Amino acid sequence: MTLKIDDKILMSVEKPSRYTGGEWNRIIKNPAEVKIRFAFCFPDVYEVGMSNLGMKILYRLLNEREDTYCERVFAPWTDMEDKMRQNGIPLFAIETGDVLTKFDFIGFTLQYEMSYSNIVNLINLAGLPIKRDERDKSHPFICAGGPCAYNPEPLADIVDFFVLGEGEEVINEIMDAYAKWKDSAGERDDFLRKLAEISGVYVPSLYKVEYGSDGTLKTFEPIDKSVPAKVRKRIIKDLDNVYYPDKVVVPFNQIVHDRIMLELFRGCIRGCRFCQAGYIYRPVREKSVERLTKLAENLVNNTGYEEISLASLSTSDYTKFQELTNKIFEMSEGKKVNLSLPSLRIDSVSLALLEKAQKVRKSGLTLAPEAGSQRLRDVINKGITRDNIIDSVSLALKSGWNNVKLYFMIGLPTETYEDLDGIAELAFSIIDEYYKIPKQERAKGLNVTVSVSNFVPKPFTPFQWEAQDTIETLIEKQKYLKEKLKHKNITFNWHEAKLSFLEAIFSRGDRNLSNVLIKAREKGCKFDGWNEYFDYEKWMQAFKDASVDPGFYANRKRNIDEILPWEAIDIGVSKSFFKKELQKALKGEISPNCRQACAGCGAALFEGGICVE
Amino acid sequence: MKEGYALNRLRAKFSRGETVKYISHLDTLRTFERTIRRAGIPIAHSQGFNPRPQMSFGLPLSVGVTSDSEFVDLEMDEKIRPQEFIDRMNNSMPEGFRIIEADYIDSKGSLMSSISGASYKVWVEAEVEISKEELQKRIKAFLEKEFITVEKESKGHIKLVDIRPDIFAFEVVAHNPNEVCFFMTLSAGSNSNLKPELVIKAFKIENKFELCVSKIHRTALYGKECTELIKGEAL
Repeated sequence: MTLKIDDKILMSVEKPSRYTGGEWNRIIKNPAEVKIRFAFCFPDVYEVGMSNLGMKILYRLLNEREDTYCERVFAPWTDMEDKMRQNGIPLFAIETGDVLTKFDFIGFTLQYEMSYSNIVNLINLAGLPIKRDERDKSHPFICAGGPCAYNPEPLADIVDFFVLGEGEEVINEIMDAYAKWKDSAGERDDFLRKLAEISGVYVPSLYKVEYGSDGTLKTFEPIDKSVPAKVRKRIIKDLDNVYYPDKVVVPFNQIVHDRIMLELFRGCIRGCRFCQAGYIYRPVREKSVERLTKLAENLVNNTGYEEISLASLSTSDYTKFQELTNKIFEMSEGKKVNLSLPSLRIDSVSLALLEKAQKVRKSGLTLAPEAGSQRLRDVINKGITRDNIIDSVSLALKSGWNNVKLYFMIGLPTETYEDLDGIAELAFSIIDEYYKIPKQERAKGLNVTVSVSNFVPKPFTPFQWEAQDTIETLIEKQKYLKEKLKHKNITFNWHEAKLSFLEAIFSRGDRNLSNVLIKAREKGCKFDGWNEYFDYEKWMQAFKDASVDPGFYANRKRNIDEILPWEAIDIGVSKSFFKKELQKALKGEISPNCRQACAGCGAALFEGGICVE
Repeated sequence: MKEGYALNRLRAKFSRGETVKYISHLDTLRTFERTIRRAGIPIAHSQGFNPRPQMSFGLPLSVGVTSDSEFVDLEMDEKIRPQEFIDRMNNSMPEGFRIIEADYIDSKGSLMSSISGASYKVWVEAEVEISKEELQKRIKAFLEKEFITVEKESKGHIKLVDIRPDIFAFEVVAHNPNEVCFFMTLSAGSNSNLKPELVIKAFKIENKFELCVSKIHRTALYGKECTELIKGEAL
């Protein structure tokens, strides 16, 4: 396809190949020959968006349909956006260069709350009305999916419909319904009504919301009886027999995850109480070793990538991990392809495996204790002990590792300064272990990186009712740790507390936040996930203009019986389970992981994976 | 084996079209590595932790410039027929890149160091209309100068350089009222490398008119004494 952007513009921006497409394995169709045009829109730059696994799957899946052409759209970097606005160029899709108004659907993937300002900005750059009730039959439908869609409410006034859960099946049902509706010459609402009948589709305009005098939700109900009160997420029961692309687009420029991503399984057996991903993807479902080995080989042959990474939550929990990695090593070595192993859980660190991986790629040892003390690790149900950590690190140090990264969270429920002391104690114990090894037997120069993020309470976790620490408290704790961790072998990193505050607002926000987002965009908020663009003052001004109190969302402990903004969404895991888990957490009691024993979370209703094994 | 070693080097000539002209040199390198793997080309790899395919490129092409005369050398593990190499590569290469020619060469030196010159077509937009005759007169006067000094920016420093010895040819090949296409042959390679933009810059300063480069296309790369880089024939 021809490039429609003037050469002069492209020559004046950074990395112009972000906008020109033409990559290997990208799909070319004639738009005139399809019935449905779908713009898959990732609300961040090309390099970030192209690294997303969901996009890779859905792009190919939609294009398998003869009646549909799915193209890719990314947020132009700010230099390009400026040029586009100056020259009256609206947002366009990479494959054809066509503007988004020509499409039937614009689908956003919601990976991170701090990309919401980009979504609003992109809709505006496409020349479309931002609010859904201002759009009419001449406009595309705007939909969204991905992990943040489980609390769709902050975007409820902007997005027409949300897709909950895994998209492989439901997206085809939506396209079929649309093809029918397009022929019927019906109204926009007719299609949305039809969608509400499809399991896994949430249409915010079909729910009415009332607030009490204290700002909490008083009612959250369907507008009439034909609309379901609860929308249950969709899952794929058998991952071995569902579509997975063995061809993916190979970008020209280096993207964030510039390698083959092999998805071993979905879900996580662990149930760490702060982790939303540990609940929303339940139940755990694995792909077979045979299927994965074949996929890996096809992907290498079809992409030419020089590296394969295993992409899943807590990847080493894959039941046949050894067998799989051996098979992949066998296949990839002759082709000079590297296998990179993700951060392994400490209780399953296999040094032999790590050494094998290090043969081709020297990387550091990454561990995520998340909390410094055993008490707090039990509160969050991170089932590892201090001995687990020290033993495996010590073994690794003896085998020549000298780079250890430790991930922690601060601001967790029940946390005290003694728990923070635990973080420092752990770091210093690792240093002690290193110096215990005779000089000639250890690698030169130890570096322990301690990275501390701030706890953000998430919907669909046992901590969904909890308050986030205030910005001041978080900064206080960071300062405390900074003092404690002063040592030549330690590098201390921490996260911006103001950004975590905004994350906490949007992760558990309600419909009133749509207006804040619109105001924030007007003030120029975008690329909030990028340090250089995050502007806290602008955000606070936007909250003020919309008369919304940000602390109400971030720092308020919810009443256990309060109606939550995501009340209409059903992930299978029950609310009563979360209540029970919260009680156990506060008492410091741990729960078994799914492989040890069933905790009765409710996800068994999907009749899939580990629940039926 | 020893004598045959040099002949394991395959040199390929390729083109880079409009659709891929914004790909940087580093990205071009990666694109070739991946194309080679997809095409199953038996290229040799370096030893060590991170084996890299043994491949080296000629003169990097600036972002935005098209070409139908780029070169790359590959050290082969196993010899395949040049035509097979061309076909397999072209079947696995993103649109816009194309292998035109390939052959085994008897050379041990690096490709980069054997390059001495390059020809370009350069399209410029002129602010005022200039007749073809007038332009030719000005070029003639320009080339008759003993020195052509111009400010050149490299690595953040600005220095004054004489570019006259690096210009071998400079002429008008097409002329529209507001657009002119020049042909240039300039020195290129690791010893001295003159970019066509700098010639245009010097020419416009000399003549005090506004010229804006709209497109550059490399038509040829030459070896020592103006030879063709694969067959070694004089050009």
